[in-house]
Amino acid sequence: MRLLRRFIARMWYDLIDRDIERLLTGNEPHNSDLIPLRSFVSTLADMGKAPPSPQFVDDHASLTAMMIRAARDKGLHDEARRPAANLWLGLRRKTAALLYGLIMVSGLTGVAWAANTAIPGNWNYEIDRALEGWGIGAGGATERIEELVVLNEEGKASVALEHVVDVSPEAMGEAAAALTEASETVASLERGSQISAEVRERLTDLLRYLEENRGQIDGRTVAEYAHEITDSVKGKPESEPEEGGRQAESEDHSNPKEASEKS
Amino acid sequence: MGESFESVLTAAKLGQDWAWAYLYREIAGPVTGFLRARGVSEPEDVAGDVFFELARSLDRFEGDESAFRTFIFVITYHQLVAHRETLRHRRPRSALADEILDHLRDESGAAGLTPESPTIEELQRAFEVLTPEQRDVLSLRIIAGLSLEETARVVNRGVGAVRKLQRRGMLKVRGRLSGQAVAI
Repeated sequence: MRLLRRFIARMWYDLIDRDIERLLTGNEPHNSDLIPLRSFVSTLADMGKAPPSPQFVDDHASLTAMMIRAARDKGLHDEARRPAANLWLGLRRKTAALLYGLIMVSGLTGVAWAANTAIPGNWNYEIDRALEGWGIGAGGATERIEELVVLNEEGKASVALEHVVDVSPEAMGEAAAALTEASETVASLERGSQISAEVRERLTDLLRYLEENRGQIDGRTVAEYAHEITDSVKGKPESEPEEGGRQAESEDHSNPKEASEKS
Repeated sequence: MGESFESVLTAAKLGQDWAWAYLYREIAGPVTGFLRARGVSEPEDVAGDVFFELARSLDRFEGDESAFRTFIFVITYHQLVAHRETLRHRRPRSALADEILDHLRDESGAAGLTPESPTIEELQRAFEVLTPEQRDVLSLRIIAGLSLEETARVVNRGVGAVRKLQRRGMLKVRGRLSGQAVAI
């Protein structure tokens, strides 16, 4: 009896499903009970038929095509993922700057203010950087360091290390590789367990150094901080602090060049 | 798009203006309609994000027109989910927002509603009784014009589950419109 009931239910569902498919493809359902659904379906279907405004098409189509061409011209599709992402990031920033520049002109300054408080990883961070490129909102080393402090406080040490180079790109040449290594090493730790307090402390030291030496940042010193962070994560025994070296320098951040020379 | 699909896709990958204008005219309507029906108050803004993601990932796409429509609505669905996340802490909107009501009123003549047809408000109330999953499925089927299989890929469920959501949703709407309780 139970099997028969299930069989009948399945038959009924099957018939209903077929009738619904008829309705959805614009045909009359066999079951007259479903006729009230015709107007519901046709009204909803009309919502998808409304063409976009010519203005919308003009604005977006040529911009999108231009982005594709720019990406192709730079060999985006033949390159590795990271350069491609960077190129798209650049294009996205320019587009975002253009759109948000218009918004700013329209008086919606609140959007720019919101973007100005963004940190790496936030949806509006690219907008923030793009607006800075246009001279809108705060920027420069001070804001980059503030962003890194927030990231460190949030336990995102690997992201912070990745963006240290943005504080002073011209001075970070010698530190870039060490920072990347530190970022990747810390990221592997973050995936596995909680970020250690030691990493956070060492990153705090690095940020303090950057804060206290804006305008005269030494890439080699930054690289030393980065190596220390990497070593602390990998569990390497810390080298015996040399007199007047980085260890001493961490206590005297105001004169990094001197400390670096001593070491 | 039919037979022109391959040439449009190739030209779009090369960044031809005409191909993107064609894609926008073909796709923007269903995409914005779907987003509007799912309660997005500024569907053209989110549609702009959908097309941006499409441009980013188009080079990786391989397949026929059906796969392409699915590809677009997978992106759209993800954008919708992201949009919902950003609105999560804001005041919830009605299932069919005011803009949709206006749209339905404008379109009711074109939809061939007869005097005995349900009113727009009745249609709205009928849509509101659906669960979010049922609204997703019915919007993708009716507004985006996707098949059952395409819809299943977009919402990442089995075809059987989508058919069930569709059936339950439609019967709920019918029950609401005819004032009957429906056993499902």
